[in-house]
Amino acid sequence: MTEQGHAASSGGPLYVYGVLHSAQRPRSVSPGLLDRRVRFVLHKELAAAVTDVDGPVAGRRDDLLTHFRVLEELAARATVLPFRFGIVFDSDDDVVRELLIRRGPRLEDMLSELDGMVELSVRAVYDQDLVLAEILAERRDIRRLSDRTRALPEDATYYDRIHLGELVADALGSKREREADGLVARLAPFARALERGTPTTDRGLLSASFLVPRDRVSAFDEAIRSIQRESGDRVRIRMTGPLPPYSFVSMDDSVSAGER
Amino acid sequence: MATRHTELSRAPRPSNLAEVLDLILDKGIVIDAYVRVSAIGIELLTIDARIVIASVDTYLRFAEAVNRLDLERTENSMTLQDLQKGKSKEEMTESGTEGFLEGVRDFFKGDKEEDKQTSTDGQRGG
Repeated sequence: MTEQGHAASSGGPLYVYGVLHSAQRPRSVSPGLLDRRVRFVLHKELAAAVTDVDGPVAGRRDDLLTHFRVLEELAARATVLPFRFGIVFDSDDDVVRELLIRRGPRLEDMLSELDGMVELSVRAVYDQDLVLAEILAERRDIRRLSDRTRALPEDATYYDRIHLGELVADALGSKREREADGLVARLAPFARALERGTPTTDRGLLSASFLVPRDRVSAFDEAIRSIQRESGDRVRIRMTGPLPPYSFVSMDDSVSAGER
Repeated sequence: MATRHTELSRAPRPSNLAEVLDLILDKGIVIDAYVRVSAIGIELLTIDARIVIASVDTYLRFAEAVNRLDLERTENSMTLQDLQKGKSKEEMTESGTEGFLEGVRDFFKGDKEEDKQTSTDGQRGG
């Protein structure tokens, strides 16, 4: 069944943003992909938020942002299961049969589990100079090796510099591990679930997502602010959210992060 | 019932885009048979390609960074505190007061709050 009161569905492909309880769907949504409307395909208690797309969608930056914005709008007042970017079903019937009926029980389970919950994404990075200066101050062996490699011509110090770098990387790694654990310990009490990623740059300290009840979001935010105040300039921490729970949804035949 | 008014801004903001991409490209529900759209051109925009792996290149980079620092320290007799005081504010964006709670929402509102945000860090990794 599709929404009445608008132009009939095209019968063609549908881009799917996510799934929610039909009772929670908003009466109107801002335009989605290709500047076309976002509508809902319904089956029993479930609603899939979709846009009719004819032919290929390009997948450019604006499309990604649109996907994100539509989900954010839906999630403002509803519990929404967000889809990864790029999912297209063949037709309304396809959405009903293959998604809402066939995968309905799993979708219902997730909606129950995630009712009232949002995702908060936290990233913290070091100020590289400050943290390296700390390491230098803490480690005489590293200072000495640094002095030695600076005093000699570069081609004479190749292996020493590698060793120096290895010591620094190791010291930074220990610091990172200890401090990331500490950060997570402070934030975990607000969350029902959390997922940690691996930092992907030299200066990365923490990359993590927290599943938090909506009414704990401002307390979580306050905790982040406290941590930032305490850290001063040596760490920059930022929180993004509230977000639909991207990191906490998965389908049995998917390879989403929740199952890795 | 009041409707939520948003001014939609399609203009990308690098820092928020980086956060978003990670989620919508790598997370969320995926049903393999129905993946039909791939993101294009993203590599140029936000991905920080330097990955922390144990490698000679990484170690040399650290050595260079440390030696540069140490050089400043010994040449200018800088202490750790001097270094901290001397940090320029441009390098220390968003170091204290905001929890970024409204960061993404503001981004899409396109209102004057967006102008207040001073983030310049476009790195995806972290």
